[in-house]
Amino acid sequence: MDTQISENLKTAFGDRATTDLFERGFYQRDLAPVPDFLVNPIADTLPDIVIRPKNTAEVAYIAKLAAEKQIPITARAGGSTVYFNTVCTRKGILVDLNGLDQIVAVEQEKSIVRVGAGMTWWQLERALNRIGLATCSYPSSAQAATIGGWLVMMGYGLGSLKYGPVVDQVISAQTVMPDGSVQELNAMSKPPVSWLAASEGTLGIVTEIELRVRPQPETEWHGLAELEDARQMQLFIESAVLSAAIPFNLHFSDPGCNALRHRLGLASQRAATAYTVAFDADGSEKETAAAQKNYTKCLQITTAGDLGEEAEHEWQHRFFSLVLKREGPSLLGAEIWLPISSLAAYLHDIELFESRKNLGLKSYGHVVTVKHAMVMTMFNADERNTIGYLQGLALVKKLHDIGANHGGSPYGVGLWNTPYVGRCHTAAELVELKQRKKLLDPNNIMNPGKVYQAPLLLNPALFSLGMDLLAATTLVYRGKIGGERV
Amino acid sequence: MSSGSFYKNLVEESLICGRCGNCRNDCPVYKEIGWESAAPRAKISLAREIFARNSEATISPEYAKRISQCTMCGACTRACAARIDLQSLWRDLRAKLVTDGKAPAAYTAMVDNLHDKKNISNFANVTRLDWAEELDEIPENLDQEPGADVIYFVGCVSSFFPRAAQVPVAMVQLLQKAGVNYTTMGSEEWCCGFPMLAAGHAAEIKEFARHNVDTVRKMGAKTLVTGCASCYHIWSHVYPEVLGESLGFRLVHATEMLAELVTAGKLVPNELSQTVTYHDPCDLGRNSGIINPPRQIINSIPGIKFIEMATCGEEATCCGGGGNLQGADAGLADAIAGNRIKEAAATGASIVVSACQQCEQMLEKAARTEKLPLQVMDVAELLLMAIED
Repeated sequence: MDTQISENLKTAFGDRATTDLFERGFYQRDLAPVPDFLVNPIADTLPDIVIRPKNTAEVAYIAKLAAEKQIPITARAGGSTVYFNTVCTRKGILVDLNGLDQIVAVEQEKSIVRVGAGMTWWQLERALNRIGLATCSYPSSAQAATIGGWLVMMGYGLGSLKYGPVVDQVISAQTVMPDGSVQELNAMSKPPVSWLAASEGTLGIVTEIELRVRPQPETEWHGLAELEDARQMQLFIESAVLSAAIPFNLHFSDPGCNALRHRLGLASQRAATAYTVAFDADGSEKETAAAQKNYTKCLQITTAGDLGEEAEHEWQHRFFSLVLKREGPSLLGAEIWLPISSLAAYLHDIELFESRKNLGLKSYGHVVTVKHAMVMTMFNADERNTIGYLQGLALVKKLHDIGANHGGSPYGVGLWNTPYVGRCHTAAELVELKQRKKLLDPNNIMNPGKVYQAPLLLNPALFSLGMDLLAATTLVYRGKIGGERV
Repeated sequence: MSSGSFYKNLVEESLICGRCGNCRNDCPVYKEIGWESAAPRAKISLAREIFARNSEATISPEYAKRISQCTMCGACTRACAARIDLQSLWRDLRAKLVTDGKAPAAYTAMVDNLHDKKNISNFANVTRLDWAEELDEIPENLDQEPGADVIYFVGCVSSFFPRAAQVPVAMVQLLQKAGVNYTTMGSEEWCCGFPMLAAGHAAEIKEFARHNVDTVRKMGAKTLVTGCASCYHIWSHVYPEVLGESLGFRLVHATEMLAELVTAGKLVPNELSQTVTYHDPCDLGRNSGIINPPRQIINSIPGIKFIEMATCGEEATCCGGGGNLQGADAGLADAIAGNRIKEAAATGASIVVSACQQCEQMLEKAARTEKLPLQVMDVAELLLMAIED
């Protein structure tokens, strides 16, 4: 990027713009600790400048300049994803949106709020609770993920089962388009707000959102079912979602996860050997009573046990899934969007894979629609052990393959899942998505390198061959991966 | 179910950190500075690079500055998705600053002063009870009275800083009125040692712990009451760990004792028509779990209208006064205090009550700076006001 442009931006934004190397370095990664030698041939992740705008006009100013000069522009807020969704691939301007974190307006009686896109979901939930309102849904990363960030990702999490993906709750989104113009996108606008969902910041930068919320639930109730095997667990889930008294959240864990949580003192001995389903209901007293009946019925259908007070404990720990990393120290895994009807079969194949690879695989997931769950299957690794870590990455591809065999696809694309983009979308869908991108961002400056197409080195055929060969090396020598503690 | 610390060491915990960013949500330093490098996860990322991955990187001046920009309030620990005890990690990281000779000069000065004076001020420790001159009559039992049931551990801030001296003045009047058989450790009270911990000199706290605990044991009191929230946290959480033994006497914070005395009818407040809010000191609320007793005291006063701040209890925002931040970056500490006092003002209260003299100093200064019509006082001062009214 031209030095003069950087200097002009620094003059315009003062101490909210920096070209300092120390500072820019922190924006080069997200949660995934991918080593430099893998990243550098594929992406130029160090932004030329990082800017922290305070309002939509400032974002628009940056975007207009980027459009004029054709400088790549990448928006980032919580930075809580794992596929480099908010990491630069071609340097340029990184826009840190965390400063857009205010509640702009509240229509209490209509249960509608307008909020800055950089506010975290947990900040919003707490602020709403103070005035008797609540969000309809939030991500399991609610303490880090922001309102805008979750909208432009897939937007499924806790509450989605009952209230749908977050895009269903969005009335409108103020968006800075790739040409620097500002548009209020809604269901009727061109483009419609639905285009933003799962666009991962490639079609524009969302700055404010008008969101449908709900009255704060009067009551909540939590159950935790103990199931003998994956088939019973699937049956429990299928029964639970069929009822009109659908829970706010359904979360399941396999014995691998539960045993680890038991070793950490976070789950009982009973849970340690079981498949479990956490059943979380809220609403009026009548609604939670009906949900409780639904839970009891599901227990009877599946001859499951009830883990009593442990349910409340599991609910209190709903944001602490990274505790599973405590035996890592690193974790590698695949997050898969999977039909519930395939859950048991998928977990069966995971067990077979485990019997061959002895990775200490563990799986958990959230049921996010009546038909789909997000399943995370993972194993321990050590990022300091390069060979083991590389082999681990190759084995992640095997997990994705198992998911694909059961109708699953990666949850989120970013950069690292671009080799699977053909699994995430049908050919027709992909054509449509690329047309949208071309229409709104013909110069491909808005979060380039994500979502639509794999870069040369991640070309699906090449990637598949490379990963399969790498996975095969574990037959000869295996680095530090898998096991209870690597 | 376990709710204790999983902490192992700096290397292992920095690798376990998943960089999820939960720690940023309530971090007062990150909120004020705004740059990613000020976020707890960023500081841990660099610790991983330097200490766990054996890279050639060292602690740069920028990184050293960020390490010292922390109030050790524990909001990050509470939020951590990997259940890392981040306060322990920050202490270990600051110890690395000391080892590498990159600690702020204020840390060294503070620690040297503590070794020399046994308190955080420039005054000799024999002047610890000078605040008592504010009393109409100095109680005979005040200084190391043998046979007292209760020892009141006054704390350095209350002992040596003029504004905070009103807190022990109120506290001893309340103890007198309630008929408690109490005394103080006088010049044998040494700093609890918290500033050493926050300055990366954790090992040196043992001498202070040993002295203070042995003095209480020698005096034979059954109960020790601390007026300061951080003293309470150090006595309850750190002393047993560094000494490898239990205290052997009951430890309570002043708010717990005063709440007990009110409940027992030994202190009976009169009506006080004031709107009051309460600032939870981090080391009392979030880090020690003492949340109800101060509220119980406030709500026992007839006529008081009590309004909670937007963040309270375990979620209360820090006042900026912890972690030796004032010594390392006074401007940042003041800015954080400014944010908190604005939160207090938003309640519409005329009085902000707290239970930590450092918090009270920070908030009082912030109220003056922000020109807010708020009176800041300790719970003990409020209760005494209601009893004398």
